[in-house]
Amino acid sequence: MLSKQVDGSYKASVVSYNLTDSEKQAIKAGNTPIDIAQKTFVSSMMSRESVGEPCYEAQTITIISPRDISASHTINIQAEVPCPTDDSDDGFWDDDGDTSGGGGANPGTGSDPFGGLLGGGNGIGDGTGNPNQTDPDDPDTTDPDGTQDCLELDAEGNCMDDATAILVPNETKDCEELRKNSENTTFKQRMQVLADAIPGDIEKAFGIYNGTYFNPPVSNPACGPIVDGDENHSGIVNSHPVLKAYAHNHLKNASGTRKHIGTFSPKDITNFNNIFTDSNSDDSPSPLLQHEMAYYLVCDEGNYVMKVKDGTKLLDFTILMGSDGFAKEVKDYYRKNKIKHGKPKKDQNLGFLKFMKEYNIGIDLYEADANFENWKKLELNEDENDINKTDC
Amino acid sequence: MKQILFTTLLLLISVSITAQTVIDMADESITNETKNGTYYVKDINNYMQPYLGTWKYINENEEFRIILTKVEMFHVILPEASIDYYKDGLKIQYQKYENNVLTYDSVIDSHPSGIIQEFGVLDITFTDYERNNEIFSLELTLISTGINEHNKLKFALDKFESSNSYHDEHPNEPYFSVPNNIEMTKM
Repeated sequence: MLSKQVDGSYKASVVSYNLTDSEKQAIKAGNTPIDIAQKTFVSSMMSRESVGEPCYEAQTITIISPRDISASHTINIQAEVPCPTDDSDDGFWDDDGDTSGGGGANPGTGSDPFGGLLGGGNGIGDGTGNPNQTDPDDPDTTDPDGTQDCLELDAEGNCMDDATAILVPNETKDCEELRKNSENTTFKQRMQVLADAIPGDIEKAFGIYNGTYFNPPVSNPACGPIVDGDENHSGIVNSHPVLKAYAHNHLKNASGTRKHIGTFSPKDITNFNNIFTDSNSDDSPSPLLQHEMAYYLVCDEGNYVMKVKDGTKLLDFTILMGSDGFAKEVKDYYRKNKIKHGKPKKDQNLGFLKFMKEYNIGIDLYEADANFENWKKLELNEDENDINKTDC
Repeated sequence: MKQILFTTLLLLISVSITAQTVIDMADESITNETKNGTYYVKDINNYMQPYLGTWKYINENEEFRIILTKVEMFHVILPEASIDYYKDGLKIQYQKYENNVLTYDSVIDSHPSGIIQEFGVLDITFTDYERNNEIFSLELTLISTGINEHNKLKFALDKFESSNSYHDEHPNEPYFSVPNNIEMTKM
């Protein structure tokens, strides 16, 4: 939980709720348990009273507005990290609580943080686009200290234990979103259509929407129809304010002028950027959040998805691809790193991960199983000669 | 004084050369290979050599030629992308003739490209200047014509996920402005 202070900093606390499954379902349905205060625990991020408790370190997090990348800003938080050794004194938040930065906290039960989370003003957010969230870099003249939305102020005018924004790591939200899509029957049926078409001669695609924003609302995800492309290009899905993802396939068999690859092409990356930026367009304001955006690929080598890690870098890459020299460099990098038709799956994946890092394109890469489930994040190992796979 | 300056210059050049790390083009990339101006991706095996020169393809009264030249230690510097390194590459120029009269003479690529990881297979980028300067992947494969002799090559452009705005606007015209999937002979 982050509480905005008058000086622009955030007081950080860890809030946990001791809830049964039925209580969780009741909250999802909008019914907060009467005794929620007794089940809520707020602990300081500064105090680590015994071995085994978590450690924290200062990290800078970028909060990206899905509507306006330029409105993004950074804040400093204390993030949980593995404790290196229990007797070390290396700047982690530990027993001493003497590391610089951040704010203090009041251990103990807070003032109904759940009310703040589920209520109107601050709502259940994810820190990436809550429309009611004040941007510290862009002071609001009607709320110069950014505390107008606080449920309760202290004597100095700071927000008390009131959630200004809930910061869930992007990776967690990305995984939740991937799981949500994979649990949808229509999504899986459509993905299977793409898989079945891999040996054929026509690339296929479909759009994936957040149907809760339709009028009347429908499911999320809501999958559009399968669209045919041609033997070298996937089908076109028109821009839409709540188009959150795009899924397409690459064909297996090469011919004279068609040599598909087993991972994302530079064109895929720029297409993904276009979908992402379209959702931020002033012309088509969208309520979509960054973690909802995705670009799926179904091919003979596997089932993959790109997620946005840094929208600004993704945009920069797309702009640079318009330069002749840069585009040639990208093509050469693909070739040099065996991202080429017919090369082994591992080589192509490894090459693409190196490319992501070397060109800093602001995306993360995940792979699913043959049923389009059980997503794993793919990353380079330390020596950059193998792939680490982390379960979502 | 001149001698001191000359010696200093030589020393600087020497330091500059020794600070450079040469990478074999046939190997995979290493971290930060394209950064800091310290790496040189070199055609160590000299695989590009057999490609150099002019190649032609004749179809009745039409002739298509490509001219390949090698650029050694080309300095790739794209500050906006933090790219700064050196490489060997090839520049392509192409010409079209009709009844032995030159009808089209392309500019020479300003930015060399091309990767060869095994002898006889060159992956390079081809700019089609009569297709809105769109760039396409081109594979040039040497064809053996005798012992250690490769006087023919296959020219194969790839359409895969390339933009072709010209073709979008003129769908009835050929996708490429040059012949494709052809065998060319060295001149």
